[in-house]
Amino acid sequence: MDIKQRTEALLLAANRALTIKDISELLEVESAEDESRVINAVASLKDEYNAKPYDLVEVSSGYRIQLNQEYAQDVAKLWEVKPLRLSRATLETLSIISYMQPVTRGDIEDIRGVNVATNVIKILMDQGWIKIKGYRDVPGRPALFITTQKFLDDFSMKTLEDLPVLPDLPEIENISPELKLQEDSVEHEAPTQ
Amino acid sequence: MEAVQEIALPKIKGSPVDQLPENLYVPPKALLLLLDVFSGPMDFLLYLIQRKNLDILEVNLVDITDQYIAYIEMMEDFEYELAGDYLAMAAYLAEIKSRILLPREEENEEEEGDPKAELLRRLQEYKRFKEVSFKLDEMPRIDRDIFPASGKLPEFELPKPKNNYDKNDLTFALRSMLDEMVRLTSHKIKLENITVESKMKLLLDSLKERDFISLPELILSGESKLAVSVILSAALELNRKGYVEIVQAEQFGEIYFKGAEEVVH
Repeated sequence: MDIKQRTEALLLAANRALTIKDISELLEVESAEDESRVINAVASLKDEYNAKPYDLVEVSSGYRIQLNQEYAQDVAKLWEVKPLRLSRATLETLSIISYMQPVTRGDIEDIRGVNVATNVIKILMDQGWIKIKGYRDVPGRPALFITTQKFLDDFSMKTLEDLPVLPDLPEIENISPELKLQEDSVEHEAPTQ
Repeated sequence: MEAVQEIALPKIKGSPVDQLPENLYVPPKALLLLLDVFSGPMDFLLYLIQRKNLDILEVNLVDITDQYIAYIEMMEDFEYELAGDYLAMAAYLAEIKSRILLPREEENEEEEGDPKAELLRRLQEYKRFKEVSFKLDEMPRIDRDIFPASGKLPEFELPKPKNNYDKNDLTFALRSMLDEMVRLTSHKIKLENITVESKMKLLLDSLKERDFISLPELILSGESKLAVSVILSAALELNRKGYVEIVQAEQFGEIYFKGAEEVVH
């Protein structure tokens, strides 16, 4: 059995993403030379899958074999459960957490101008996309939300830099000179991680 | 960007046109519709501005405020707990409108900041997250657009025990069951007339003929459970009185009864 086939077997059986390190450990590969063979195996498998309805894709927690997106409609019929449809409120909340993290409920409410429904946070928590990182040191000690590695995995991202580009805030002063702004009114761009 | 057009958001200043009719019909259950279609008052406000194909900064806030409040007022069956955020926005807009319409002292405004600018800034901030949330929704998502492929693992079978019984085992099993049936039948208990003294005498007599008697040997000489316990008591009693010694050569080894010196001779 060569390393490539053993690597493929692991990726098929794992049902989750595996890093090169995971695979090397599972195959009990010790030398750096063998580890580079694992890397080559992954690359070569990815090449092979070009002609297949599936692909080897790298996400945040490693490599996984996944069906190509164009087969989603066919495949979804195998199950009776419809994929989770996210409401506008849920998507906006998730976006704000993704770009501005860590954020409190209050931060989200400031931007959305509406109460963050408990239900929305619950859905995001249940999906394992967000978690509480800590508590802001202000009265009430509100929870600080951040996104998780599963969020990156589930949205096919390697890092937060793979998020869609957040449009810049237009410079209000330049467009509309009659408006007077407080200095802190101009929001800084969202931190990317 | 397609998603943005799908939900009938006009592009600012011209290009794609608002698809909703100019005079939006407000049905009786308007509030529920509002709550359903818009994600919040910011979203609704943004709609009012953008359906005029205006940039946020070009908007006449007085007009927008009037429209916003008109919509809110049109709603019957107003459910305050659901629409609290919309009402809060209406109040905020009304305040801004009053500031715009009423002459103010310059200095005051400097101190308090410009609520109009603040609102516009918030609208812009909200707008970019709204836009990006549509893009986020388009990202290939697991279990919706992409499905992990996996190979089905073979069933791991445990080796079955081999069938190596023969007909003798069957006979034996039958025999044991029959024996068991006999044992389960009722029986009468006879009172056995065994005394510790008689067994003590018996043991001492045996030890005159032999030097040692092992414990199993001694016990097996009993014909019944009662006899066995009486024999054991007899042996222990003799030991206590010093007529019999109990010897064990090694740990867990066989236990022997041995006549004490003075008795043997």
